[in-house]
Amino acid sequence: MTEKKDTPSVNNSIQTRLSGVMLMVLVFALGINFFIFSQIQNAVTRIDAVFSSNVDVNELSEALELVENTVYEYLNTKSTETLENYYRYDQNYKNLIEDLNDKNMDSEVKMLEKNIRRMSESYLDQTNETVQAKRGRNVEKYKTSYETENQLYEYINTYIYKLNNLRFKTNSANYQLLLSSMNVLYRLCLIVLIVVYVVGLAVTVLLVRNMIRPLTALSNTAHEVAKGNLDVPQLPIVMDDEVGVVTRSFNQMLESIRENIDQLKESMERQAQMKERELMMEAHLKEAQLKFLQAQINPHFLFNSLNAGAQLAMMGDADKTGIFLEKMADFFRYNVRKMEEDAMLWEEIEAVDNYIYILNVRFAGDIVYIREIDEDIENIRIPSMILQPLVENAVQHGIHDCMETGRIVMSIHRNQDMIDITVSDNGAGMTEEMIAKVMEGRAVQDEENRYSTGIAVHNVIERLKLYYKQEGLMTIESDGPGTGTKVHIVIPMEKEELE
Amino acid sequence: MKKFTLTVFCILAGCIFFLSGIWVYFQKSMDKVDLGEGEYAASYQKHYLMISNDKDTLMWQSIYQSASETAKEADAYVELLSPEQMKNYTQEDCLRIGIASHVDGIILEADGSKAEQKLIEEAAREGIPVVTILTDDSACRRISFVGLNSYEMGSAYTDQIAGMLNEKGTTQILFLSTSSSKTQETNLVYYQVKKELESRKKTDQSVNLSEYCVDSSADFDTEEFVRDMFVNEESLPDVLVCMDEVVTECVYQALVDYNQVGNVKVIGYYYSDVILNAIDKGILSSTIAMDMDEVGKYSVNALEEYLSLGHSNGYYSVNQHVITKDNTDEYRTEGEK
Repeated sequence: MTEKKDTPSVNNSIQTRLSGVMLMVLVFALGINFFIFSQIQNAVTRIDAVFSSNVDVNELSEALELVENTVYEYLNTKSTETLENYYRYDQNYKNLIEDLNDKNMDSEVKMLEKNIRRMSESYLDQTNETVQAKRGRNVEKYKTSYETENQLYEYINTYIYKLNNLRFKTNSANYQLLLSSMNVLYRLCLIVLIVVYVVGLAVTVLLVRNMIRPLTALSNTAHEVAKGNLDVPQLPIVMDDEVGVVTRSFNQMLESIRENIDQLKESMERQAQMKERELMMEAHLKEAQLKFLQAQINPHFLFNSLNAGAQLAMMGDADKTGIFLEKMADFFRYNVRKMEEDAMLWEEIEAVDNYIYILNVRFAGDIVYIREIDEDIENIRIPSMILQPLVENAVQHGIHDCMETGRIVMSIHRNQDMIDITVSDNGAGMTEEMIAKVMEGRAVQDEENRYSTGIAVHNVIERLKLYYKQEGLMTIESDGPGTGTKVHIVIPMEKEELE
Repeated sequence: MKKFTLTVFCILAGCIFFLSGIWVYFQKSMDKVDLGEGEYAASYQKHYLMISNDKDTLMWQSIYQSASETAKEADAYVELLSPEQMKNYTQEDCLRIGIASHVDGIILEADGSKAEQKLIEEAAREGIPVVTILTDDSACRRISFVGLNSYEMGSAYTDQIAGMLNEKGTTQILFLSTSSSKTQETNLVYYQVKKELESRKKTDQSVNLSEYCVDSSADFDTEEFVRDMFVNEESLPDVLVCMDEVVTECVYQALVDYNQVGNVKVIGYYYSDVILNAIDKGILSSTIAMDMDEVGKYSVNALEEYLSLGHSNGYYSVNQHVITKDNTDEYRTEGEK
């Protein structure tokens, strides 16, 4: 079973064109040859005709001689066989003279023919008379008759000779004429053949050049492309043949290569961006870690010390102190543990709770902290250390100077597939300028050293951006100094979390 | 591609044009080849045979041409046959050929021989009419004779000779003819001249008229005789009357060669370019020519008359022309003029 190949259809294939031209050249050459041969045949037939008249005359002469000889032989021998021969030759000669002219024509040849015919008729009558006389044994008559007949034979022979001569003279002239014509024809035919073959060659060369030209262009372009220069113009499709198909395919291939390279470039750019983002995220983390480690020296020591203190307090029945110390220990432990990874929302909330508790112990329960949290959202994962810095910020910058009246509200609501987190205070408030500074991260450096335990809000912004790969997840709103500040974070929920 | 197609088209057109040229040339060459068969020559109902003694002379050519033209008008073809065309053939052989060829009529210059008379008789039996021209043979069964009127011819010669007679004394006059031109008619002319001169000569003039016939049966004899005559000056006459075209030309040449111009006055017979030139130069005085066109014409007319009516006029007389220095131009061919 043969498999049919799926080849593109070509309207005017090279094979067809080459075959066509070859066929045309061959047919043309064949036609010319036929023409030449027909002309030569014509000339040869003519030459043949020229001398055939002489042949006819010779035949006539031979036939006459046979009649004369048989008459003589019969008169000499009177044999039956000779008589039979005589009648046969007589008939043969009669047949031959039938072909001769019998009209009075204004032509020497025709008149000679007529005279030969008429004299031959007289001659045959005379021979018949002679033979009859011989058969009748009329000696005197057949002798006289033979003499007359012999005389006529001489006359006829003379006329035949004359006719032959006349024809030969004309025929020789005609032969010369034909020969010279043949010579000219021979030369002309030679020229024609040369011309035809030169034309055939020229046509073939022209065609092949026409076919090769796009192929050469294709080859040159392919060479350019092979050298790496993809910025070459589209090749024109001259003919819808195999070369045309290859050219079209080459153009398409070139286009595809260009597209692929563009895609690759784009992909690599994207990868580079991602890498860069990763690096930045890592840098931010490192930065946070560094800062935290700097701060960790105290918290670790403090954390261990606090655990010891808590145990001491518990042993000394100082429960409140023990709880305080435990909360503090939890707060710092969370800080230490969660700086490197994301955390559950409830852990973040707990960290905030611990922080507020510590602050309330520090500031004798002055901070009003309100939590408004939807149910079933506590197990959502978010980047760690997001909420505590915001609350700390609200305490440090918002209500620091009005602890008695200050109030911090942290609300966490689910809004379809998003989590809205809002940390608001009724403290100092912020100007537009300050908000802009904070959002752009310019304010962070200045105030970082002032608050050793705080983590910059900008750091939170950056980490949110890196984590969710989105910008604008956090906004700060304030109507101005003294109007309080509202920090709003929108966290998209992941698919699993939505389910 | 269009350019390519156009180029190919132009080349093909050029080749076809070239080939057409060859074809046309070759066809024309082929057409030039005439097989000489005369397939498309005019055909005629009747066939006459004219037997001439010397078909190459201007005289016979004139007779044949005139006869041929007249015959064509009567739907007949005239064939010219001369014994000299065929080796060892005589006029009798030609006559036999004519009879064996069953021609419709024969025109010949009779020689008065018995054999010829017999053959004319045979021709008559075969139903072939025979017309004699220039020389008659009234003894045979020829249907008609076309020739000179010896009386008028004699008078014409007399007119010419009369002016050449010596003022006083005897004038030697020689009539020179050949065996082929010496006929009954020339004899009549001779006697007519003789008779007329006797009556026209002045009292102190005398005429010695003689005639001589050169035997021309052997080749070149005429010329040799004329030369002999001029070598032997004593035999030269005062007036030489030639009765033959060949004799006239021989005499003219001899006159020049032997420096006898002016000593011998010559009257020629018929005319050729040589004879006309001689008259122009004054070497020959004049020449007398029968109207050969009339000979040809009347001979065919006689045959036609016989074939259509069963009989014809027994004698057709033709006119003669006297050619002198004054009218030679009228007899010259166009080329000569």
